Amino acid sequence: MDIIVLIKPQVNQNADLSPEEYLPSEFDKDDIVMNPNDKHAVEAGLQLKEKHGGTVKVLALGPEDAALKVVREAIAMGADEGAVIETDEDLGWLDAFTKARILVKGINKLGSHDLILTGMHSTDFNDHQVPQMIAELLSLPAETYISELEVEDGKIKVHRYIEGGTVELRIPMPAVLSIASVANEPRYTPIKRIMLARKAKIPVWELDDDLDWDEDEIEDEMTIRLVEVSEPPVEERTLIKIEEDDPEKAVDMLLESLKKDGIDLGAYKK
Amino acid sequence: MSNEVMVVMEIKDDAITTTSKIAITVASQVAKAKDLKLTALLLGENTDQYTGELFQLGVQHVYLVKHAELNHYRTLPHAKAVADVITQKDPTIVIFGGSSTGNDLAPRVAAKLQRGLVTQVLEASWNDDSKLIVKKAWYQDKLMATFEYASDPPYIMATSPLAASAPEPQEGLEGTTEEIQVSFSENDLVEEIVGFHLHKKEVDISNAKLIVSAGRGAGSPDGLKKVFELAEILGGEVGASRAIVDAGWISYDHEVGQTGATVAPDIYMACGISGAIQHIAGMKKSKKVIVINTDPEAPFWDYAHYGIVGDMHKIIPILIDRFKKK
Repeated sequence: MDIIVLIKPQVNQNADLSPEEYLPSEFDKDDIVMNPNDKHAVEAGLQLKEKHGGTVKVLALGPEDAALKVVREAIAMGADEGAVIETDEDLGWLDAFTKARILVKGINKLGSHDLILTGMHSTDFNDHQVPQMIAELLSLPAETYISELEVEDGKIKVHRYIEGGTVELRIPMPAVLSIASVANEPRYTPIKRIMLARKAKIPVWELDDDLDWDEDEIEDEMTIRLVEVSEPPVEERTLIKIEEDDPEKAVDMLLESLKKDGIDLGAYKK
Repeated sequence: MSNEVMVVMEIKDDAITTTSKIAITVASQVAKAKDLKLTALLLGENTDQYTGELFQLGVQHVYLVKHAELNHYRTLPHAKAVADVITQKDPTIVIFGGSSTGNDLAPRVAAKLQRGLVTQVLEASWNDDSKLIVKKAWYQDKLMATFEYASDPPYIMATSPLAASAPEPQEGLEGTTEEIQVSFSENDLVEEIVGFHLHKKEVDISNAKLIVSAGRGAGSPDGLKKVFELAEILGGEVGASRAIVDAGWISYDHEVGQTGATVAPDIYMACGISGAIQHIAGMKKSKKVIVINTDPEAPFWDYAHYGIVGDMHKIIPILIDRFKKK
């Protein structure tokens, strides 16, 4: 079973994000992490490989250093090999459809595959778009938010998260699946594999030379443009935080403050 | 181009989903500003029963695609049907709700139509140049991004569950309906539904005015007893973080958050819950938030109006005592 896992280099949530700096190309390598949701996709791929044999290849799109870092991390987890599609440092934000179109070129270059796995969404831009878009571009079925999966008679059977439970579906392969974070616990990486990953040869593909793409036209082709990034509006809120060791007194103080603001916890009794 | 804003509806448990209704609110805002017609698309057989309610919510015209293959959600036939209707009717804007289904369907449809898409939209409006502008949160609310649709219509988006409230139904509003035929090829029908695994739902906390919610700080299923007692005495319901639902301490119908219920009570009391963003997403619209937590640095304090830094096992019995007496 040959599996491709798409992994995304993104800026660490705790880095110094601002309306001026929010893209991986604007940060040091130390601030770059693999999208935490993608680790569940790598783990799902590794588990399938352990059960059914085959290979797990990872593919990352982004500035070279950032993308190489997350590919090495996935190889350290257990992936067999990886590749990077390098984007120019000057390139701004790209919409998910553009990224999907680029990734499809990389997927085709990686060769045949039975499954393409992704995380359920990225925690930076929170788009939820890439898996279904690449599936459409590749004319493959796709199921998203998968909490359980197993191969059965050459097909894949999945539990897809829906509000209130799951729906169980069976679809033919090749297919695209986005893996929910509840599906598994990503493994720890043994030191030995970290060393191995450091030495791994990882091809870096350039958009124009290797993927036949005019990099200058990318931003013009987008149907959606980013016009502004700003700090979110600050909600006016006052906090009365009671730090009192005596719980009886603390409750008194709480009820007193609520009363002052006209709030009565006893008003909701049926 | 027909001058309309089309909302793709999702029906679940024999009702129009709240996320679809929120999408209608956003749609009617952008439609009114430009005098566009507000339309809705219903997929599946037996959907006639929902048209009356859609009219009451402000929808003027409803498209019905009554195909048996659309009775249960599967991406491929649904995406094919929605894309066909969009191609036939040529709406200016297409809006999906922000459920797991909406987030699955919208990108597939957008890709079919060779369009980009903005998901998790919090606000939509027109700028001075009559361009459609949408906003969404990035990096779990740390930044706000504003986008402009730069191509020809249709402009496609999926709304965030936090974008708005559902519209209030108004008696006496009427509208028109229209049936549309679609056909599927074999390739559209390769997804086979094996079955549904749905949590039993016995309590509905979504409309509660007061919620006492608990997280890992409860310590054990036994630790929840006092939480239930306090909620009972105050006339409220019990909410829960996903962590203790997953741990099996409490049933799923109590879960608040992205994968559970979205609530907007007058009072939300969060006891021993750290305040993960997925939980916050489900209770952000609460009017007043009271936090009880031993950790003075817990993220939940960023959303609190009142609170006690202390052990819920000590505080809750005192609260029970105080309100029992009344």
